[in-house]
Amino acid sequence: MTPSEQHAQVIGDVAADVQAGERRAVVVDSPPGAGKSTFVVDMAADLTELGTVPIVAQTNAQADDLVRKIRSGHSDLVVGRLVGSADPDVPHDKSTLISKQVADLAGCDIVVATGAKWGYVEDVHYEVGIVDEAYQMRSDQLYFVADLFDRALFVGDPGQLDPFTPADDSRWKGHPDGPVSPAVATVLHHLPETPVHRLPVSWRLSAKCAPLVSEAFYPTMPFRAGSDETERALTATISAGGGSTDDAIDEAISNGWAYLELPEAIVPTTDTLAVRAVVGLAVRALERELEAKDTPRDEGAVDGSRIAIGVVHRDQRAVVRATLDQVGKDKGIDVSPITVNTANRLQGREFHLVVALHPLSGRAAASEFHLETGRLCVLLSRHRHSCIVVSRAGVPELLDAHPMAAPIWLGAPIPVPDGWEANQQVIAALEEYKVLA
Amino acid sequence: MSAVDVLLAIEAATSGQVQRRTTVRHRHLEPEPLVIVAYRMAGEAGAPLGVMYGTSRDAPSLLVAPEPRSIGIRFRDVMNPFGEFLCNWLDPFVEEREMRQARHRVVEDCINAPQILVPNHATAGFVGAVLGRSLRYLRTEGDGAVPETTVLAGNHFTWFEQQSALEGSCVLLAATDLLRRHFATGQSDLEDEDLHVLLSWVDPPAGKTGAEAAAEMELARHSGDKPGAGPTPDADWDRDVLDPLLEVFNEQRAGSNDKEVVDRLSGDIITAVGDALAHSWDATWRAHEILLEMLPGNTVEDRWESDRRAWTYHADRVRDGWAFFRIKDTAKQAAWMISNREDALTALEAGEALDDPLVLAGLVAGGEALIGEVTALDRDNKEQGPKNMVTRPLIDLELGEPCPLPIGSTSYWTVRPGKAKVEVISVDGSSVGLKVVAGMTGDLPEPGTIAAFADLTFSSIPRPKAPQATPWTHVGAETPSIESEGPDDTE
Repeated sequence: MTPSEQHAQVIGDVAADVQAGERRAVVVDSPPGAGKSTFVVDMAADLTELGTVPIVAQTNAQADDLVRKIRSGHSDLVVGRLVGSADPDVPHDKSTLISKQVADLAGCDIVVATGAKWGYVEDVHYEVGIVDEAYQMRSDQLYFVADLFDRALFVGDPGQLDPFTPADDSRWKGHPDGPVSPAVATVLHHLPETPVHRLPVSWRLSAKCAPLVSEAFYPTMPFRAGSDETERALTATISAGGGSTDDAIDEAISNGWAYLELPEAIVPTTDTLAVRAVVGLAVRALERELEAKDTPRDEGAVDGSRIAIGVVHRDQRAVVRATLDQVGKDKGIDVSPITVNTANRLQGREFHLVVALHPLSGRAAASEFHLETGRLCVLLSRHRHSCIVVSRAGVPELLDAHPMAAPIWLGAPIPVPDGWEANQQVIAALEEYKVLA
Repeated sequence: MSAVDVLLAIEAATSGQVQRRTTVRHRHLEPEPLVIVAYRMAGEAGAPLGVMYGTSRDAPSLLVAPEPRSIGIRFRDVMNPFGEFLCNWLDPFVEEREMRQARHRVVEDCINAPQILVPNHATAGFVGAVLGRSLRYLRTEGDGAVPETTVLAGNHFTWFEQQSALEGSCVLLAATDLLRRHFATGQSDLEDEDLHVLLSWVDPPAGKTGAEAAAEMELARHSGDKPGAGPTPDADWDRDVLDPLLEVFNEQRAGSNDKEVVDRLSGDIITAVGDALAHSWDATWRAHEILLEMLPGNTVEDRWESDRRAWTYHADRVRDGWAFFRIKDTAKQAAWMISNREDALTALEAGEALDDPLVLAGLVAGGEALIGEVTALDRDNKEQGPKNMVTRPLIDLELGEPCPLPIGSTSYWTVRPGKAKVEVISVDGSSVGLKVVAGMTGDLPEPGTIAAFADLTFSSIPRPKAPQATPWTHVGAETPSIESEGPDDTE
């Protein structure tokens, strides 16, 4: 089967399950870039024959994205954007209604709002709802919205970051229906008969990059790339001038991955050498005027808006941004379109080239936070073409020397994949693409 | 750990002197809290060997179960009298009320909330979670019946446990937590959990540094001169002191649990346990004394007021004979509890940072807050709103270092937290342009002054209305029943 046929088959199965209505919940697991939001929008459009379809998004930005997607793909539908206070970033036209009151949106085919906003909605009831990014929704939030509909389709990426709270939630550890558990975990716990479908194809990750991400982060739900090696390519207009930065960029251009390894050292999170390295790679990639081939889109220049630098901590983001702006200023290059953000904030985003600072780079010990697979998975799965990982040497030794010190909670599901193992696997796989700084 | 805390820990380690982490006290302290010091049997999580307690340093009470593995002895000599004491001590807190006019009705608030102070984190867990859970489901009739006050004490302990899980709550405090919040030592967190060693850092004898005093204390602990602060058993003390006495006691009583026999033979064990607990008793009160001397922060009483409200709710349930707790939370309770915890944490972080420049400095060092000189204020700046032109004052801030916050991030002026909200609209090196996006009509920082901005607020988002019945996504496997809330669902 071609990737398109595989994808279509799963979508057909999901649609059949939802239409049959025998199960109150249907879950769709989606690897990165598997066409999840297109799927959500198309599914919502299909379901409008049963009445208004509510979509539960997790953030206002995600809700706005969905509304724009409905507008462009299903211009015949009237879509409502239910908001709290924010001024949504959606087209203002006759087919897009915006309101703080759900009553104003009664005639809409689809109504989109965040889970937080849906929680305050009363006196409406729908037959089927769609929960998008359902692995990032907290169980306690689902508690306040679930009664809005009789049945629901939960769609999300199980490999990304789990929801969290800054407060102490140890009381509910090991309870799949604890308030901070992912909504999907709660549903599967209480409704174990729920069918779980898996989207089999990543349209984002290239044929060169998909296997590493699939094997390390999705061992129980392997996926393939939707494109083959002839359909995707990066080329540099300006040839390499020598040096490890150019070598790493060349490696990433030819193989999809590159791993720029810095000398081993234990350093603060705002490691000056690592910050200069990630900034240097992003700026140099701009200077070398990369061109992207992306059949059938056949895209052109990789400008700043196609490049992201992914980091782990907010203080890293601050110092990378400041350094990037300074280097841009010195060289007279406009670096403002380049995205710099933490893994958390890069969820759901897509770029051509991602420069990622490894979560364990330069650390003295591996903490639970740094071992969370979702964090590394997000950083390593945002790119259509290439990803360059930057790290201090010594990550495998660090992992070996520091067994997990985090408590084990009775009843807690064993994380799949295990953070320690996924980290080892990734770093071992990246060894092949290593460039020494 | 903020960069400021790391710096203070390094300074403490290099100088051997404890460093203040705060300029004020961030927790409410009663002048006469109930201090509880306990020691439990090795391998028996819920079996106290001895408990020393009281509200006055000079008049401790002592209960000892010379053989805690005997349920009869444990309950008769410790659990039941301790439960009775606790209920009697709490009785005035439950009963003494003052009237308050609420929105639609008059409510009777408790005049004050009770406060329990224990030596360390482990004791807090022991008297809260462990004793609460082990006592609150016992029967008051039939086989193994215990007095009602023992069961009620279990429910009280559970309330203390649950309330103290709210960050900043002061109903059940551990002296080690209190000292660590206010002082940085040069040792690890794990070492700081030993109250005797921690207190040596904070309060060394004259002529010694904290590090020297702590090292000596550790040696004394290892030589068995000073057992640990409990309730976790001290292996040396168990082997050298307790075990020989216990062997003699069990041999002589020959299986008898008889009160007269036990009382006659237990004198040596009671003396030994009393001596051991006295060290922790003194240390806990010394910590209390040190902390009580500090000036409290401005928002400390607001947080104690939250404790008092919560206590009133519990006290009302006690008066109505309905102060029960489930084994497993319902979805509704869990949603309510986690959001309470999040609100409490937000309020505590805001309160500590706004009351204390040392805490705010940690936020600035971590790139979460801005502090700098106001170089310009344009109060009358207008921009196009959704309908009309709206006023959006502009503030220019000179930080003296690169701005850690990206454009678009929002925070509050620390003089009007939760009200004067600004958005970062431009960054040029160390100069930052801020736009006031909420609270523009009140005071704003004037040019020439130093102003700080941080994402701190005391206002919490109101909670959605809970569904009448548990929704379909949260019902099914192992759902706690909604109808019964009480002893019926103990199994």
